[in-house]
Amino acid sequence: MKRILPIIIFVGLFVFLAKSLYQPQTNIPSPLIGKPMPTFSLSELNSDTSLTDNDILGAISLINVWATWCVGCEQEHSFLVELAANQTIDIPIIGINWKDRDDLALRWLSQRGDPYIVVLSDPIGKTAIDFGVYGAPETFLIDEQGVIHYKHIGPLDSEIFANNIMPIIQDLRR
Amino acid sequence: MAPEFGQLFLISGLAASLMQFLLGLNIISLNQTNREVLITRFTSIHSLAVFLAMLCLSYSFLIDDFSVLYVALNSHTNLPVLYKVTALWGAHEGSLLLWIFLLSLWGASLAYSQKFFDQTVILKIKSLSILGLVSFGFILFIIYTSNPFERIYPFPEQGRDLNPLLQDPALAIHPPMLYAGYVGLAVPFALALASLMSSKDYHWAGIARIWAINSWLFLTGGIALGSWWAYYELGWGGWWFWDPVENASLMPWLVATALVHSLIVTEKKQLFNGFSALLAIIAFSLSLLGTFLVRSGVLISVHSFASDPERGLFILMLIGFFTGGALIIYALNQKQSKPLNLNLFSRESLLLLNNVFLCSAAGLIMIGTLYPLVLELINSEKISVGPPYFNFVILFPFIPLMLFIGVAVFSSWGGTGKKLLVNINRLALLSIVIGLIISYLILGYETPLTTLGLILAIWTIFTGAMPVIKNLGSQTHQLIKNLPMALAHIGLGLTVLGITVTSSYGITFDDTLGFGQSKQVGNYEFKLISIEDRAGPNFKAKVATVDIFSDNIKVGSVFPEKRIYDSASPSMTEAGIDSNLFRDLFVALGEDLGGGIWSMHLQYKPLLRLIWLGPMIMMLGALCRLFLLKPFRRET
Repeated sequence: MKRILPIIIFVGLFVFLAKSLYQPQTNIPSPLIGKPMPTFSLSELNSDTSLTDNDILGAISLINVWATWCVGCEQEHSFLVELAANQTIDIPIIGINWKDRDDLALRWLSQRGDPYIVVLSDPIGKTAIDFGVYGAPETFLIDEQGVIHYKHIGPLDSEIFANNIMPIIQDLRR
Repeated sequence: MAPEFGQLFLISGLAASLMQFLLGLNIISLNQTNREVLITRFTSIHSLAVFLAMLCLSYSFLIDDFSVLYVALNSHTNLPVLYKVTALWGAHEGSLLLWIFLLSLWGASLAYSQKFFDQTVILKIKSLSILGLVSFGFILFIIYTSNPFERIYPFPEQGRDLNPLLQDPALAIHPPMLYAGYVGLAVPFALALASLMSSKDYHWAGIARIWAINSWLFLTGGIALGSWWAYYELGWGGWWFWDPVENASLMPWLVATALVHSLIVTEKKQLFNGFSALLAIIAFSLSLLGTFLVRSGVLISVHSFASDPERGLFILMLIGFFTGGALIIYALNQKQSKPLNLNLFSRESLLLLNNVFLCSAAGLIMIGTLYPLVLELINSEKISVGPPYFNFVILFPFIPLMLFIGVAVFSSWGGTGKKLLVNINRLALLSIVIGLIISYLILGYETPLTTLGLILAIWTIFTGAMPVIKNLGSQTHQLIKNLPMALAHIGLGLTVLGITVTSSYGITFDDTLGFGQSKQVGNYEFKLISIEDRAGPNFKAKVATVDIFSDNIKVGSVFPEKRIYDSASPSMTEAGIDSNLFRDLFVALGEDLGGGIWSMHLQYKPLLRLIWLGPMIMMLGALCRLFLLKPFRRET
């Protein structure tokens, strides 16, 4: 038994790590909820214009952190495109392209559709750290003043949006 | 052409490592002398090939060849030459290449080692063969998932620049040091397996100890450098964040420490052979796990370079193969151990006890690092465990560990408790008295834990120094014999002293300051004088001048900076630090709030430097053991 024990522990650990590798990211309570979003200054995708947190204020919007290498982002992308086109919900989506390459990101958007009003590029992930991002995709709901009201980790879909995010948007618009 | 040559060299390295592995197997029939000569040659060819591959990549960096994707992503024409060289390991692909190069170098050092004699040549052949297989797996990993020589077309005019966080002298040597430590643990791992499979004696322990100490030396240096870098570069003023990547380096260090001590017992007393072998396996497996955690994206941290599930899966498979395989060999081949009949206060049992504490510490850190993942699997909720968990649980193994370290120094092989008590009671009393004096009279009473930390740190320093002090008059050999242990223990004591004092008596303020305004932090007054613009080679910066006064006498000026690099827009904080051995005064520039008012992060940290001085003294101990002791050992 003494000899086998290390193997048993290791097999457990191994199975667990393998499962984690394919586990979709889920809810993490964010200390930032109810607080203004962190300050940042990021350049637009493939351009020299740089935008700060002040530049994106003025509307209730979603901030979506994504990357081309992330499987979950691919999953949620069609929903984002659909959401962006929806005139009745009418919510702008701001993209933060995280630890990615601009050329890959642009190709990705041209192939799959671009739901974002603007995409900011965060190649080294500094802003994502300030936002407390655990892993892409993550989506934040901010109000006109930039206060964060909700954070979703993992791929967004119509059900999650309707149940968790839409009620908050309606409250904010009232 | 350079990248194509690099690719070719890498493939040659792959072939040579495969030969190195196959030559150790009995399916190739050769007599032992030829086998040894051949495997040594292929080990050299293998490391030479990987070295040349690295040179090719370096060359592409130096000539700014942006048609190489890895160079385009991690360099820039304006990047200083030093960083063009170190950019080689600035991201995933290159750092793996470095990892493999260091692994092959350790293999070569084993191949040319003078430690082997006729009966143990088989041990050398088998362990080189295992090291060949490890290299083979990782070179395959590079070629399949992370080729640094990949070209892009059309290629960009300009590179994306090296991650600004990594443009720093300490970071230039931090990864090679840490990696040297990580992969150095492959040698004790290979020796342990070779011994389990072939020889039935304890020769491996003495040989493995040399490489275990070497790895421990580099790990100690790498971890300390990383902590120092995080302190002044990340701009938050902390020196340890319990970040997954930091934990990934601390766990192998703890187990390597246990391994070094366990190997002493195996070498000298032929005891704990199985336990030492298991520690060697675990230490290297933890190095691999560290690589997995950083590369897979399972855990996101400030340090992670790239996350890609395909890479994670490949590394996980490598871990499964090497660790799983090693544990099976361990289970099948373990020798029937002698019935243990240990006196509780003998040196062998005290060392065993401390090794158990060290492993528990590693285990608790592993639980904390993986706990968020476990919870996520169970009820789909993510929580972060964070520093409070680690700071709390680490005390449980560390308090008794620190207590028994001193006791173990004074114990003797097979010794009893009575004799031991006579030897240590005065020193123990002295440590308690001095600890209480410092705690109550000099620094001022804070918490029971602070007092306990002070006493244990002093106890560890005294007991470490005593064997050397006692032998001051005797022969050089007697004096030097205890020096490595003494330095290592004194270093640990100083580190614990620094941690205790700085975390109990340090002061931190976040405040806004306008020009000419000042803020009192402890006994020090911080005054913002000016903020000016400065241009660096590839960045623009705002530089503040902050004067620091103590009792209205100016003690120093610091110049914290905020840098904007040309190619990556987020700004970087360069802290301004005024330090001496007794205290650090730290200023980080926050945000410009307009009207000449800035937010600032101000800190007073007493004895902070000991946290890095301690590891340096520990390293000195390891160096003593590796180089100073050698000539004296031959005489005896």
